[in-house]
Amino acid sequence: MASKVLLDIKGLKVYFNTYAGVVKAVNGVDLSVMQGESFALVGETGCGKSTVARAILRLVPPPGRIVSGEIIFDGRDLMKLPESELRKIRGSEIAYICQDPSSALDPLFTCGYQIAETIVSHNTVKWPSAFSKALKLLTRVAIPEAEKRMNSFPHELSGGMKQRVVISISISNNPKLLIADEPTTALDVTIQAQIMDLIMSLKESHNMTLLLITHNLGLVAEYCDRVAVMYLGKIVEVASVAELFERPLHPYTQGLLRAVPNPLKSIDYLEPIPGIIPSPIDLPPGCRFHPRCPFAMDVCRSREPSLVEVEPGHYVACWKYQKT
Amino acid sequence: MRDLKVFKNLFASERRSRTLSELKLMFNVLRRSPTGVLGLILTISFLVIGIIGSYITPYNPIFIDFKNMHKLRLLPPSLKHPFGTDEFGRDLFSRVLSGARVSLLAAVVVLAVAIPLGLTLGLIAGYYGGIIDEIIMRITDVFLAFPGLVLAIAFSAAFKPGLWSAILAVALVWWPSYVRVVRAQVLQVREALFIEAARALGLSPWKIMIRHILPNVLTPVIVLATLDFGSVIIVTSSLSFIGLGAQPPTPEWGRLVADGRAYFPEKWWYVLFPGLAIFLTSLGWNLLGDSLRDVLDPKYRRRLEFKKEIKKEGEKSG
Repeated sequence: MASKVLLDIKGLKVYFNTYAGVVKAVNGVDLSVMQGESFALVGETGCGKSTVARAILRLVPPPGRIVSGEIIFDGRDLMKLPESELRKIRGSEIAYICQDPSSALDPLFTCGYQIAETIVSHNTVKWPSAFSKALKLLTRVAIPEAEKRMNSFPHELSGGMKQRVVISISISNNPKLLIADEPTTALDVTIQAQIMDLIMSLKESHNMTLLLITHNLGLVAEYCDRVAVMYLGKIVEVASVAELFERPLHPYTQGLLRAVPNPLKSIDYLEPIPGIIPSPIDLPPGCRFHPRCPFAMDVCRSREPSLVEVEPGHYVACWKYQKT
Repeated sequence: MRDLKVFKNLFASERRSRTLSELKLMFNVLRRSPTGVLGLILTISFLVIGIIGSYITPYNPIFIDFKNMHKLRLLPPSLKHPFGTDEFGRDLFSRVLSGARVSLLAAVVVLAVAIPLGLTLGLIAGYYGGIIDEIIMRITDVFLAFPGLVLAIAFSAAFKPGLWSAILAVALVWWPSYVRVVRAQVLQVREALFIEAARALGLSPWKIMIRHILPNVLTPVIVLATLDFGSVIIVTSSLSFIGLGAQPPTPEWGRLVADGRAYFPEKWWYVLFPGLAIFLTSLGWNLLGDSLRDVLDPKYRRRLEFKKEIKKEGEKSG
């Protein structure tokens, strides 16, 4: 893919100061998302993938704070922008779909109002035209009886419909980048496919770039172009989706793929990754995966591998593939 | 453009019917509790008397008829003077009626000062947290450290005695409780995902506070304000009772009780009727506030509807 880089994250570190100690939720993440692609960030619960998403918008909730890093979005460093400038980018150039649609909408306002509010706050339009645009958006996200739904309160809608409303809010200002943080986790499987199809078709028609954050490898395989695997606050492998599923290099990625069923092969059992995730307060020295890694060598216990390109477009952080 | 107009009208009418049905539902829940109905009756009659009371008095509540004073002095309740008369021969019924206006005025002004102030400070403290929260809450704590009535006495004693300084004094001690209530609610609401979503959509902090947090914290404020309506009346009456509030000849309930104390218990009506007025008014607001809490709680309402349905089912099946 030869297109330009839309989002470039360099050395992002996000720490949470808790009473138990400093939780290094994101510990030096480098990512580049190309314009127009759909990029997936996968990892286990608690590996810091949602924190990355929030850090992009500089919305890490306290006690978390972004310690260092650059987030270059469309030529601007978001870390250096003043809050007021950043506010203009949030919701208009970068949109964010969160995990749980049922609590992402204000219970006291109608869906139509909430869509129109986002339009009004980023454009110089009057409320009536914002409302009529909101109706168009609701029709666009294929909500049945859109006109009626304009006046519905969130509690009157099902989870899937709420997520559709949330999506229509997020695309209301034609964003360049759509960050979807586990958009289908709270929905059941049949709705999942519908919502993902909707997001993908909107991505095509609006020329958006999608950053999908998920732990569902099935979604990644189905909908994404490139994927980054995260483990304990670091990216361990980046590759195109085909490459990653075909030839996973990092032992953690291999373990992940063994732990989910593959519909193309008949399998008798799924193999979990041995061991548990170490505490992010007290990280193991060297490669952070070594306590659970079947190939762990001496060097893994003492030194941390860096992310290197072993093949064109395939990056991995593992001593197995690089010279010490 | 015409479509838009039709569309907007559609909105308006539907919203109206929704609001109407919501109000109907609230009223139905209120009607179900006898104490709530009693509260509603008492408060409405207080409001009505407070507004028109001083215009419908059978006698002039202030005018003293010196010529006939010796004949009219301290008459017991009769058909001519239902509440009796005071030591200057004035009709107590008229004085109690017009006294309602002073109490209503005091309560309205105090709450009109305390609620906006409490809401603003509570919202800012809860939303921003940190050092701003510390400053606002410590100042609030200083006010809350003293018993409200004592502080109100201190304030109104410092000002020139009179109705307005009493009202100002009560307002000055009243806002801290609202700051506390609002802040506690804001702390809860601001963690909600929809607030985070609003932030991610690029809304400004003020818009988030006013449009999304404020409406979500209003319910307890409404309940507290209703309950406080009665308390404010008691406190301002207390100030008048010890001579710091309304000055004679303004008829004020607390003042009337204080004046009547000298003739108690032989001339019992002088104390009884103004005291009864204070009691019934604050009782009314308390009962109303209590049942408003139930009315405004959707879960409680749901439970009531559910009960009704079960009852219907039971009747159907025999």
